Amino acid sequence: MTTASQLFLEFIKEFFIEILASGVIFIIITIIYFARDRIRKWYFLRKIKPIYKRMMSNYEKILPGYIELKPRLKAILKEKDLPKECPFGYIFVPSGREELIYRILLTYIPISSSLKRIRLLFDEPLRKCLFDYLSYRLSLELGMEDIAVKFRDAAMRDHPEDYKVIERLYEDGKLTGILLNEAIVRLKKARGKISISDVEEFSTLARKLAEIDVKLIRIGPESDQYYIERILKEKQGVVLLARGKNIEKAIKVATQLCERDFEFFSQDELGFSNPEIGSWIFLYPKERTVPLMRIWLKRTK
Amino acid sequence: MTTKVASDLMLVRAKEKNVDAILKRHNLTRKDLRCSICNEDLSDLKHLGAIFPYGSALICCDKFECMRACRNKLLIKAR
Repeated sequence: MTTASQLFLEFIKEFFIEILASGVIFIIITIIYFARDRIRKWYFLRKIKPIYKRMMSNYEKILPGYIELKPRLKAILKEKDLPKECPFGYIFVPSGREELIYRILLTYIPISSSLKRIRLLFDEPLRKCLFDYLSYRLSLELGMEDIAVKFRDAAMRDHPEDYKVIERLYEDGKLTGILLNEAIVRLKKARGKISISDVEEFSTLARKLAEIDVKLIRIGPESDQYYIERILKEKQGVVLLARGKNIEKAIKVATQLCERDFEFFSQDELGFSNPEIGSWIFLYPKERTVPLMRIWLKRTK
Repeated sequence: MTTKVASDLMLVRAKEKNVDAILKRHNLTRKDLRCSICNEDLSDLKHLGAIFPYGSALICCDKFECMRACRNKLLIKAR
């Protein structure tokens, strides 16, 4: 071995720790340098992203089955970050006032992620109230009561009767259990071309549904007796919603309820046949159609 | 301007460079930075809330009433 090599080896041995530490520091600095934009974006989104994720997961619970897509939240820090596609919107975050972003997201998440086509079946006041109510519910779920009441108060000031219609539909389960599916069915029949008459008729149905004093009960995997006992505890009428193989069970439950304190609504009272037979269209994650039956029962005492 | 539309929400630090780049992308200028609802001048960027860039761009300030009114305008778009 030459003298130079020996000296080099000795140098390495003597300063091994220092050389290793310098190497590690160099690698870390290089990574930070090349990942600086990612790190800046992460730092920018660090407070907002968790809130956004919580908003989306809560929104999925508020409107099960009707979340069409989850908009991606992206940060723009430089001109090169601008997207090639035209985004839904640019939201500006003032430095040090990140809390402003929450009410912006609560306002725009419902319209950017759900009911994109079927909302056109609702007339203008109902449509506005629908989204005010969804933002109200979402704010409440996130514990942001101060923002929630702003949506409710504004809607009550603009369209008090229609806001109550949407609230009633939602609380009785009729919004997600009847109306939105009905909207999908009608939209498909009209092949997406909605006339003014379609809007008028659909909005009339929405208001009428809110007036009928029934609560929606989804017939699922539980026993007949479970549903009967649950329904007997209700003070109001019920509409049994059954899909696919549960239709037979719904008929049995309705028959037994009619032997107790319930009877069928007449066609005149409802404006449509009872039981209703139709199709339930699942749009997400992929489209499929199953047979559907709704049985409308009112209390006799 | 590109015509392909995504549903993404872009979060932007309200700095001059960023805002100018977005305005340029959508054929807008600083003079256009007025709230589409209350007409407040937003060119100082202190109260700029959101820009929705399709058709004639919808520009909103950060007041709750204006954000809600902007949303109502967006409701007629099936995107």
